[in-house]
Amino acid sequence: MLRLCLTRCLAGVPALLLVTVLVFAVIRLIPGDPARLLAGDMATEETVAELRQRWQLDRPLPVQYAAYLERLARGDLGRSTATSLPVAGELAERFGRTLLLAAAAILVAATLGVLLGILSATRRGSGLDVVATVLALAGVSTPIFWSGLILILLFSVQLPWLPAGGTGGLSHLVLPAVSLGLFGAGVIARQTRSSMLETLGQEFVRTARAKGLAERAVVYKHALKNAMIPVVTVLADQFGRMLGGAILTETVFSWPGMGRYLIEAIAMRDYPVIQGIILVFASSFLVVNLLLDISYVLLDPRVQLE
Amino acid sequence: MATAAGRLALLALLALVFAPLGPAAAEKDTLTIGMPSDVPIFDTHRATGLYNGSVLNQVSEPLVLLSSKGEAQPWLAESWEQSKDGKTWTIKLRKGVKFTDGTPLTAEAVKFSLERFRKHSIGKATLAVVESITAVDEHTLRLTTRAPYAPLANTLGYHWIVVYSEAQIKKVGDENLHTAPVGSGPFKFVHHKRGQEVRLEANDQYWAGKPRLRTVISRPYPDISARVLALESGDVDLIFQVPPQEAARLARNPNLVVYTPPTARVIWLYLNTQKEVFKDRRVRQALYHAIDRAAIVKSVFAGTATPLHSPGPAGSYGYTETHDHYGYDPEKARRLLREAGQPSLTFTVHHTPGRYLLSGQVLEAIQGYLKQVGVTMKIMDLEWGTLSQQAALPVERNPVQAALFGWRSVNGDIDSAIQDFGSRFWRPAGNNLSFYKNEEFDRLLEQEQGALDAKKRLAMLSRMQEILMEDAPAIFLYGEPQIWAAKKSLKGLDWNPLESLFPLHRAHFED
Repeated sequence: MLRLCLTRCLAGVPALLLVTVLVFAVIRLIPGDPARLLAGDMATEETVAELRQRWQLDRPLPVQYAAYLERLARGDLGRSTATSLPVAGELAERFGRTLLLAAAAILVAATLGVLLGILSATRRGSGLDVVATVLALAGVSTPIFWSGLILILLFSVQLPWLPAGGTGGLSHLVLPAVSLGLFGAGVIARQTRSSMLETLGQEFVRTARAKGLAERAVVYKHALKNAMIPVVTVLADQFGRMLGGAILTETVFSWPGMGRYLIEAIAMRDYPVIQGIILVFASSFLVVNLLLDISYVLLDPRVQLE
Repeated sequence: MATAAGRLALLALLALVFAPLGPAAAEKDTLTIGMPSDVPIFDTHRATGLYNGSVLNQVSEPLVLLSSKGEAQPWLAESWEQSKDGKTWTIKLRKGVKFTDGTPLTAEAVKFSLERFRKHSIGKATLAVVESITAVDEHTLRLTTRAPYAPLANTLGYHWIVVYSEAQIKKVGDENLHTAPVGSGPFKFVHHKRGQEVRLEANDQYWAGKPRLRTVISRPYPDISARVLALESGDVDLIFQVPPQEAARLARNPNLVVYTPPTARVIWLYLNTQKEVFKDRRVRQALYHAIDRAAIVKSVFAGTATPLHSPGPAGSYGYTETHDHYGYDPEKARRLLREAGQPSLTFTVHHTPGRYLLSGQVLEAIQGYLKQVGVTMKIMDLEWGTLSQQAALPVERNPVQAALFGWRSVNGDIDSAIQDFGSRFWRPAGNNLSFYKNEEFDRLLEQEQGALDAKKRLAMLSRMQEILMEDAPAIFLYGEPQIWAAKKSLKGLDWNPLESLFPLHRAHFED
């Protein structure tokens, strides 16, 4: 297992290097000039030129890239052009909050989704199945900015139970996590249902029933574990995406995570911040995938990882 | 006996538990403001990009305050005088003002801050005309300018040009001032948690009077609907940038009140006068006649915007409406277009959705009006980063035929709104996106800025507005409203036209 982790981490280095090249090139290819955006209404050609020089944007691209890589190797992500503050500090803080929100949302999504999925698979065709299917569909197809605003309207304005947005205690986490989680729950419920139905139709389930096991044990012990692999894959994929920052949720709930940070950085063409965020995003995807592979082994002893 | 004591104890306990709900509850003394964006960095001299004067200026103040009429009012500066040759300004500072670290506000300290602004700020061009800054004595400051520059006093009201404690800057280091800024304002900086909140506490030694609030908090709510809901739920007491449709709804709420103080932000439809389609002045005038500005203000903005009758902003120093002869007259528009040989003109307008309030709806309305006189206007939506770069290209490569841009005066003097039509401000050197050139205008611009006689200067400003209205290098559409909404119990607020709150020492909550 340890060897697996090590090799995967090493294999990740070239992938991340490729990401730095791509991001570096792409953000400079799209139109827009950070110096001019920053100088704004006050823009004089002098100010723009001075800013370009301050951020060394006047140097050839390969030179800029080399300087960026060199700093990166020392763990320095540079300074934001929009605020002139170091990127690393703020990125760490924002990532922490995104991680918190993503973890809470995935908890909501997994609990609700798996429960709903099992219920509708085991009672296939019943009224409960129909209700669960409709709920899951509603979860998937409700735009987050809408469900988020409705949640605020209900639980902050009509019933003043929870804050309308921002950060602070756990109470601030509830609405954004539920809003984001409901969306994920829909996807997971659909996946769990179809995967469970497939598993329940297999030979070993019939065997388990034939030897007289209680239905509860058949479903939750034997079938569920086998049905989980595709569900875990979907979960990991969702979690990975959420780590990139849930832009709409963060905007509606004024949650200062990575998503909003990225949007603001792109609007200002804040190159160091964009590069930092994408790098963190790519790295977290690598880690999540590694964790996913490990979870396959735990779920299914037949899977070999070497 | 024992039970009586027990009952008493129980009562006491209950009283404790419910005490905060009783009528004895203390007066509310924390103001929470919901802003569209966070303060990027709590140091106005180093501030870049979007930023929020309403919050920053509670800690550090400018020398003068701009009134809603665009006049410079004494603040940290008690009086000022321009010399006979117009190049020297003597500024008397208010005595007895202290920074919140206890050090006195002296001419030396002001000089230090002005020079710091001139060194770091991306807005330093606003003070480029200043040649030297001298502290004459403890409370007298002297500024000399390269040429006579009449709007200087107003420029000092620009809310980036504020005074910080020199001692504090030296103590924490110039780069780190944003972590613990110290000024002379009604509130002291407590913390700035980036993306979350700014917290300020009362400065009881404030020179203009002890603040009635104890704490001011500012939180960013980037989503408009979420910001409005935060006010309705009571999470915040005051919000900025309320959409006009929501404003009408909020105004009906008995606990809330909506404010629309005047603003210096104006919206113009620039017409590139060097492009073939707009070379003929009659075409530009025709567009002016074809658009019903009053109707747009009424229908799109529910009356909250201000129609412009000059480049504006309405209410700025020198503004006059006397030269607007463009009534809504589609017949005249058609005639002018025929005379110019362009009866079925087609052009494209560049626009960034969401950057200016309701600009998309405004353009659609204009599109409709133009259609009626045979003009086809195509709307090209571009993201701001892209458009700002294209619009900055020099005339021979500039692809923009027309563009809807908003623009805000920094000093409340109409000079700052119209100077960009000078031919030396053609892009990329300045903001003359119309690539407009008029020799009389250019000459007046040089003279006006150096004029010492206020009356003569006003006459020149009036003539310059007349020229611009006649030549129509842009359609001067309307002044964007700044819309705030607050709890009705919140009193003592006032705004300047630069879209920020005056010092909040008089603000308080009433029952």
